[in-house]
Amino acid sequence: MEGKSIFRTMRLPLSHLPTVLLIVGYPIYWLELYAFRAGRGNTTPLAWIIFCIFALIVLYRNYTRLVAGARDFCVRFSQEPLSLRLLLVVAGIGAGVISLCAFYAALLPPHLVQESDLLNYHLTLPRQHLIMHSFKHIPWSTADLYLLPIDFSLAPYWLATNLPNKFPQFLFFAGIIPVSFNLVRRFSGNNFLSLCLIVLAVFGSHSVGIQAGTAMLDLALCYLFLAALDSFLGGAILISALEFVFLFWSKSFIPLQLGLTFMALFCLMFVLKKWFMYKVDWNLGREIEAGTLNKKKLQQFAVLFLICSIFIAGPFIAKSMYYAGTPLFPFKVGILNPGNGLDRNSPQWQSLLEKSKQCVTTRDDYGAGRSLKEFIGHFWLIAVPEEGVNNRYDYPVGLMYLLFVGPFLYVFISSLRKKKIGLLPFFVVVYWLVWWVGSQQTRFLFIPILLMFISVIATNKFQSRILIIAMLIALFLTGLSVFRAHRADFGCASWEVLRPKDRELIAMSKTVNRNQPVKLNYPDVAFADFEVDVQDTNSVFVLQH
Amino acid sequence: MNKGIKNNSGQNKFLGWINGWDAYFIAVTLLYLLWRARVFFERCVYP
Repeated sequence: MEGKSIFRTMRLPLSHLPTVLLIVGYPIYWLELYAFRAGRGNTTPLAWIIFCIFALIVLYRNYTRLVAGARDFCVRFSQEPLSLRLLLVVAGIGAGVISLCAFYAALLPPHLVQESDLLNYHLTLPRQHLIMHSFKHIPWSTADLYLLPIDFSLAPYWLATNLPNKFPQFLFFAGIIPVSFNLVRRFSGNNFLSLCLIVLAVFGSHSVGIQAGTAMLDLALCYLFLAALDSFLGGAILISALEFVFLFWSKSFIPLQLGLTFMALFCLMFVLKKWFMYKVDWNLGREIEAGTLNKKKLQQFAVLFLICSIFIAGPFIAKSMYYAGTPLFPFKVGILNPGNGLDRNSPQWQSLLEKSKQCVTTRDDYGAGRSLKEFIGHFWLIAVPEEGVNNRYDYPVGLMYLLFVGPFLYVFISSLRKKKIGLLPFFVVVYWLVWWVGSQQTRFLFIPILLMFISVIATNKFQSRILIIAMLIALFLTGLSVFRAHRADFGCASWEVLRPKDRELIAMSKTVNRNQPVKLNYPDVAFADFEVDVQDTNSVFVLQH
Repeated sequence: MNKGIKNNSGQNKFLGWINGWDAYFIAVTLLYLLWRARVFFERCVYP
């Protein structure tokens, strides 16, 4: 029955367990805020307990399938030539080393330079709300008007330990691999080598490796997109809608970016299909199977998306509208005139306007313009370091991307010549163009780069030993970067890796007066277990009040 | 596995072993490694 399929939640595969983190964490956060009140900005272990129980149930229900899959892998592996088996074993060792480094790093509290966003607001704001026992606007915080559903959903996990942890992010990294694997299996016709190559491509991707084990949330967003697509193709429309809702409302610019991408995609497809008689496939050469993209499923998805959005994004949109007069802060502040959250003549409102402009102009902090020359050059420059380890687009996406961008453009252009549109490759191209006119930060390219890998690998072409050797070199270089990023922390206890500022905050908690907010002059106060009032700083995250 | 361009004559075996895309993969990898080496040495010379 079609109506049954949208509630196939109990058939959740293991690869979608990170989604459960969010589905469980979001309501638990509100309970922690208004009912449990564990105190000092900490949470009870309830979210972890429910998640672990759910994980055990899913593992139990998928156990037979897992064992059968492992047996099938062994049989198919043994049928491959010896040289290929050796290459795959070396790849497995490399992937194992990267996983171990990332796992070790994920066990430490957030402290790295690249984790500053988490320390500035992802973790700080849910914690400050827990301390205040209130969802009302934190007057000093700009970011408190952002969309924060993922931050709130993960806070019950982050704050359940003595020192805040970042382990949930590792689970999203781990989730990307089987979800990509599933997508390639669908599109490649279960080709053994293609399945091995996608795992190798994800592990060897420098952009993925550099975020693995850290507290950054870009891998979580990438996971959510791939997982939503996988769930949709598998007929689990409710799970797909939930995954897409969490992604869609994760950052203020994502509704605009995805909205623009999908509109452009459907307009272009409509024109090409209607006027130029193009044929539409999911991926290149993989026809849309009957039922995977029909009108009824899309309608179900749209309805569920709207309902879930009300609960998941509603509180944040309402707050932004009330205090900043816009549903998507920092864009178009004051365009609506709903409540009177802030007096329009107050210094705080002027500060809000100023900081919102600063937030929007950060889009020009990366890249080197949008000329044709820059556009052509960026295909190479995003992959390589320029000075030190970074480049003008933030950090390099690495060799793995370079290996796949050529074949991708080739198959994309040749499919257009054959009057065929692959939905995924077309999405990659449109998304990339929208990225180019928006914020040119490489961390926002996770989704198209992984879709590029999936699109190319699933064609089952390009499977040469030379490619595998080149991918192994990429894997080795990524492993080196991951090791270098975390080597200073090896052998250190959690307390030892903390920033001096965070140790001070922990020390202060023994002496502060908890009856009033403590005045500080920096916003990265994730380790403060007391209410703070941040003042006198030029940080974009701090409002004058 | 894609074995590359077949060469029935038996001559020029190396070129027969790699196909067009293999040449791309080799070129891109070498260019990338050279670039990384340049950046690395620049960092060592002007730290």
